[in-house]
Amino acid sequence: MEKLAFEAALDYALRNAQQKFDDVVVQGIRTQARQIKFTNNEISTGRTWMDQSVSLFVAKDRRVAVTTLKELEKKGIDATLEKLVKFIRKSQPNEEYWKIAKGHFAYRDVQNLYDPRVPKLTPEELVGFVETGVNAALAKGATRASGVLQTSMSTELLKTSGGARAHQKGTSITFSIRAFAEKDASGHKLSCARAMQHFRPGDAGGRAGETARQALHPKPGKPGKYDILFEPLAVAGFYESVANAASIFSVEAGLSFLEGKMNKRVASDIVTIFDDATLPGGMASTKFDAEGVPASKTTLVRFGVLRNYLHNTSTAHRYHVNTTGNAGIIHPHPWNVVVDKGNLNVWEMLQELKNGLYVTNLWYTRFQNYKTGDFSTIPRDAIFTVENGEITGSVKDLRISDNLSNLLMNIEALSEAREQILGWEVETPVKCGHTLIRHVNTTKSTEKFGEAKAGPTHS
Amino acid sequence: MPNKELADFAVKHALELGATFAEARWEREVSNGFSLKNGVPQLAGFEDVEGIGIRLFYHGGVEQVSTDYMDKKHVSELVEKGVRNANASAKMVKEPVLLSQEEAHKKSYEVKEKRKIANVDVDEKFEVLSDVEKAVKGSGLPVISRYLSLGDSVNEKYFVSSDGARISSVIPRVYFSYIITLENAGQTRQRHFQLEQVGGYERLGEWKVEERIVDEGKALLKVLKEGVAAPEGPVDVVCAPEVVGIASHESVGHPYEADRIMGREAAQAGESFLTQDDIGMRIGSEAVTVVDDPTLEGSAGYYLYDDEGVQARRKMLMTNGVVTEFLHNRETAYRMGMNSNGGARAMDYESEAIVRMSNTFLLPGDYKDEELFEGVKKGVYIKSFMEWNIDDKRMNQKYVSSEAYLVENGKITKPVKRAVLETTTKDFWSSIDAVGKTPEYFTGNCGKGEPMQGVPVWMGGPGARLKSMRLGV
Repeated sequence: MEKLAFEAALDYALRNAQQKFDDVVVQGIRTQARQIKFTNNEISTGRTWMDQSVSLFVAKDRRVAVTTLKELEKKGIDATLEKLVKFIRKSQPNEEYWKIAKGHFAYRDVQNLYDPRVPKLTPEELVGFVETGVNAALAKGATRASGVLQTSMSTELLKTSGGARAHQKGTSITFSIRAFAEKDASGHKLSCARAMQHFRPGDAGGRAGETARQALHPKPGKPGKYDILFEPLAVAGFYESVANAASIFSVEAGLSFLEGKMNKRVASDIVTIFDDATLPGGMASTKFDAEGVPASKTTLVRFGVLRNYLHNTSTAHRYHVNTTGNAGIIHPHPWNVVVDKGNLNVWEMLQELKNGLYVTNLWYTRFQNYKTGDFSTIPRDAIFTVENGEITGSVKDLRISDNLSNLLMNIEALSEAREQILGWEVETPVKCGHTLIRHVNTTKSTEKFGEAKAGPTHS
Repeated sequence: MPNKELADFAVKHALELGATFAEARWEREVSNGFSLKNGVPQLAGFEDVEGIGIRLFYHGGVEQVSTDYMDKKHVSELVEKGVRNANASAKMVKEPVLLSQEEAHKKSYEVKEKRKIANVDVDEKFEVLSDVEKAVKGSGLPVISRYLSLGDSVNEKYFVSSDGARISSVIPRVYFSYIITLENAGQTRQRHFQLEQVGGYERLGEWKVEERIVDEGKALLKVLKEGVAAPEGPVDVVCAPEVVGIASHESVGHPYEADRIMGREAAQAGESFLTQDDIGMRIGSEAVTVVDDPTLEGSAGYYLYDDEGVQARRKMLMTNGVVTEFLHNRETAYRMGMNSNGGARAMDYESEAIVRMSNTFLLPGDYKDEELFEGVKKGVYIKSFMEWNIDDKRMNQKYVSSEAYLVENGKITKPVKRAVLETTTKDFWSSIDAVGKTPEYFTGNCGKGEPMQGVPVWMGGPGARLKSMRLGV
């Protein structure tokens, strides 16, 4: 059994697959990652991952298939290719598929995607970052904090029958901390970076602790329409939903509220949203997409008007546009969602808000209808009340039940400062600032009729 | 070195390096996936993925390491890294993780396939999707978009621990899911539904997907065309098994997960309104008993031994309305001074085994289906839902109907456009005065952990009647 080196295995697979199929993409990724999970100020577990994966996309007579290579040796690769031939033969054609991109592509480096210091961090240094973050939260008034620190280093190679020969390496270091001052008073902050100079666990911990302390003794919230100032962590999910809805795949599958709205107003005129694979230090920035097309920046919404959907080569061909470099060969997807900055600081935004709520985090966003944008989501962690531009207290147990189109149209102010958000509820990185939205509908659990309201009792 | 022996080697090597406990899980999963978007085949594919995950305890620190490099050199290097990392982590550990003492089982089990996945060819799988597409198109319903998915997998697993446990399993499973959009007079309605069971392709015949999707389409069109507003004021709400199931999962299963109660999921899936002292607390009415049971044959959440080698069993979460048992793995069980009840699950070899649900459901009561409606002068029957969520302490939950009907004088009458049940966990479970006899189960993909782990579960039960509720808007 002849074991091949990583790149040699990709070359062997490409060379042999090209003899059997019209289009071939071979992509190999090697990753080493580490995570430290901490609970109530202590480390609960560490994690170490060391993996390599090689995926193979092939097309023949518009029949398309994907698989992974398990064995990086000639016999195993040959067997997988034979299996693919049989698989494709019995498949049905995808009439929407055209071809992958062809050409001799030149790739430009994206700044700050790799920092050689990250893979060299010692286990003790990583524990030190956790300690720094937790201590900062406790120093600001939290009593306990939980979360994760994660680092990764990856190298990626992509070669296609269309002529693409691409490679890149990247690092990341992220810190997610949720601090509690009491059971109902919490704050959650992140520090997401590709390079050490942008990584600030102490800052994230301190802000989480400060938010938790400020949220002490929340009162039950009253449902109704509110003007709401959203922190970046809270509003990022809305912008992520916009970018996902801008994928032509979502539009065609009936899963987009942006269907039929090209060149129409979909947001207030201060809103400009990009998908930017070239964002320096972007958590998902890349030099190339899954077809090997050089990565680019695409305007999704400009001054409130929908300007582009996200495409790969095949979908672009059907719509007579150029690919936006967002393959997914079948399912185009966003890389980094970037919202243009506004011109206010947070204090000025609170004055602009005057009276309403200040929401720091959201979770469990679920749509009733992706096509209309009807959804609800739940504020998690601190919800502050704002009166005359000042934070006056905190509330709990409210739910935002509204429509995504309505929210976008009612965006009234954006902050100048922005941060990158990537976390448990936001899977596509979003760079955005504080966002002020008017007339947001909130609901809460209804009061029960009739017999005495049931509460828990010990029997 | 054969891969099971590699797992044995990993445990042995960790102990040699001074670990006080070690376990390893080798997994291989062979899978196939197919999808159809508006009748057009999308990406189809197959995978054969294999890897090993190891957990070791060293000087008070815990480290979990995983790799798909299946050779002794890499596994050895990884275990050594794990020891170094655990040693560093110990600095921030005041109360070291310890595990409950459990019987070290040596067992092997396999789920049988009546119609083997390996014997169903690619063309037949495409035909399954095409037949469902044809059924929808042939129905004449205004289904303007459709996304259909079919898949299968065979998971082979070997678990070994330094306690002496050795568990081998082979679990095949098949799934189908759809999301459809209907349009009438400029209004749309969407429905997402998934089916999953362990076993082979015999399951597809049992599911009757073509019939189900067309029936659902007809019902949704009726709601679009004839739906009326939900009533205001106090109404009785009859929840169908699908709604009872999601409420059982979200507001009984999740808050009873002991790791959440102890704060280990605080920055991810959240915590719980319960504390570890709340065994014995009344949450629901006498009519309500909710269990989690991985041993339910054929179920999506089926297993006989968990991912720590502990024998699976039914957990009595809420008995006659009273909190009776939490879901545990060995870590939480030790901390609460008891034995694990076999609730540890990992999504794959590179995921940690954390406290999870399997199949969570309300146990049947004494009422025939039609009896749930008797005596309801004014009410709403919620048959299915689309939008739902619950807060991260699992107290405030919301379900928005996909299909719902008015109930007038004991009879189901007109369709309701939008019935919103937005209520607390206490109000939901304490309002139930009648529970049906006939359970049904529904598939979900439950998310928890970081990185996110999705594991297949069932949720369900019979229908249940909630007295005197106020619907939301």
